[in-house]
Amino acid sequence: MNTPWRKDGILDNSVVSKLLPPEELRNSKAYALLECVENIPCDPCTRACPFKAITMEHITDLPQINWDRCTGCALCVMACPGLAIFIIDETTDPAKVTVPYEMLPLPEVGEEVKLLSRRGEVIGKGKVLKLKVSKNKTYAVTVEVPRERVHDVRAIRCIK
Amino acid sequence: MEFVRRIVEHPVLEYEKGKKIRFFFEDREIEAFEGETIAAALEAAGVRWYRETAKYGRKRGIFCAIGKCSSCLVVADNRVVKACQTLVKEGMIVKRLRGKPQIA
Amino acid sequence: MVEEYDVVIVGSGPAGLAAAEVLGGEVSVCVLDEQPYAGGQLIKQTHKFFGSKEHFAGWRGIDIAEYLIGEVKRRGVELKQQHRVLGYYAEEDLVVAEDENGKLHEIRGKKYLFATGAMENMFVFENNDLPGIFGAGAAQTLMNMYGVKPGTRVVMLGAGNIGLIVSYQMLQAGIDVAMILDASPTIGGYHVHAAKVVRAGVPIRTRYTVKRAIGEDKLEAVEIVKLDENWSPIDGTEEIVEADLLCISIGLSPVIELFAQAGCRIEYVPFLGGYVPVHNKFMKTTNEKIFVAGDASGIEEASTAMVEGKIAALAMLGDLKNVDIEDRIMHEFESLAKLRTGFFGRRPKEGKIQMEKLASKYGL
Repeated sequence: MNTPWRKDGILDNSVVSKLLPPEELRNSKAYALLECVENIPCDPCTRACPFKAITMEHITDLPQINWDRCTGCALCVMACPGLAIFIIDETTDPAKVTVPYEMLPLPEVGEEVKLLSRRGEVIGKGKVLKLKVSKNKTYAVTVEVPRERVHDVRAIRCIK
Repeated sequence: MEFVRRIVEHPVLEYEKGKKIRFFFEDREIEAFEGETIAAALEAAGVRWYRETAKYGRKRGIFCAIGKCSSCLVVADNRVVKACQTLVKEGMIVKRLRGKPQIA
Repeated sequence: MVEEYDVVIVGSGPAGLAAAEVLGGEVSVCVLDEQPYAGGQLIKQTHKFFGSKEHFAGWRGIDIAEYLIGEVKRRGVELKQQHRVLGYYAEEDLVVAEDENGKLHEIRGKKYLFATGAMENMFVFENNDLPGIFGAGAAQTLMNMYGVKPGTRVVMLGAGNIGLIVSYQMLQAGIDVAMILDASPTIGGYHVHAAKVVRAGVPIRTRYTVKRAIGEDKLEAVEIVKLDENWSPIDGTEEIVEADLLCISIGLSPVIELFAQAGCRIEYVPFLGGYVPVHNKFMKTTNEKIFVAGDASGIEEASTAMVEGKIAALAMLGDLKNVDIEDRIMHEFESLAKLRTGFFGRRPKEGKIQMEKLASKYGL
């Protein structure tokens, strides 16, 4: 198995591009992107999805997603114990990315936050559009992201 | 004055604190909460050095905090105890353990 | 006076509590634990668990502990905290426990489960005993149980799951994590745990280690060094990193003193974390009264510890009462097998295969 991410924990674009749905789907709706690349024993995403879009046969399989069923609702974002699921919406300009968030302080809708890459670099600023929270206190935060950065932004940090 | 290390807000946890109490460490009066260990109270007050080893006089603090390593031995109310396993009490007198403990 | 129970469990972590949940209501059970609070390491685990629904997937450890403690109490199990078990005495067939006032208690069971857990391994470098050098678990205890910051700026040694998770929890507590080091060429933990800290801005440096700790009566800085392909320090690559906390997270060792004292056979199985009591697949040791479960039987996850606790409990129940446990125990065996698949399950799986061979060597 070729696992370059095991050196520094960072998925590079060659790996991520294989996780993306086909381009016509990306241009038609918001979708969940599962950055889950290792066979770890874990399946809460399959139970979190009310549309049964995410499936796996065996608990250490990689999750499979049927994007036709995915509505981009972000329930899986809040359920994933690995915080490895993101909702990407490239149908708008600016685009939108929904990331899991378990830090303080909590941003408010309309607030501007820093946008971080998978490497933890600050690559811009964006406005918070939506906040959802699960009962186990993981937030799903939707932020505005420049279209060309939609596949780079994977975390936020409050400026306040 | 050392930086006081209490976490005020946490994204997941809510800390249930016991009654506020006071105890003494090497003549210093320290504020603590009932239900916390001597080690937690000392760390919160910025104290890291708990004892001196018998042979080389090395300074030691906590290491495992689960009662396994004995690095955090102190003398509390005249008993040698593990600071990480012993709950702090109102008025408790805690001293550094210097050298080997005395068996009464 | 000797207190009598059907089953005496030592350790109220995930393995001990899961066993108590199975046994409670069926037989009389007492759980002894030296810690001031029940739950073992679960009560400091704020991250969400992996696994499947029956392994509490998606729950945070703290919530699993609260649930299990509630369930065992409801089933009439006696939980005795601050009871440090000093030993098992075969002639009288009882354990002696010391309470917080130094008073000794004699407690007898028809069966015993020693679920004593694990402790952090130490690492050798100059000044490694300086105050401010903690096991990662100690930092976690201070933060998550007592709401105390273990430091303000941290270097973490070890990029296994514990090192990665505790680093993330430090960020949640508002602590600055300077970097995570690992001597291996690759991170040891799950990618998802690494990704969480890296995207929060914490660099992971593989092939790096700690050379020495700097400070007078407490840690002030850490000297780190790069390693070559033979794991040797490369001269001239040293860097001084300011930090008031260095966390060591390079692995755990099973806590086996009680088994050794009780006369259970011990063997060295590297895939299980070192010396472990010999046990069969029903978690029975070479002393037919004494069972083992969880990290004490081999370093793994809380999820596998809970399943092992249930297996030991069912096996004891089958011995104590004339009940058919076969279907339930088969279900737990399947559950364990599922958890031990994949890249990360290969080590414990191989370790447990070696252990089965050792067990049959001892006639178990």
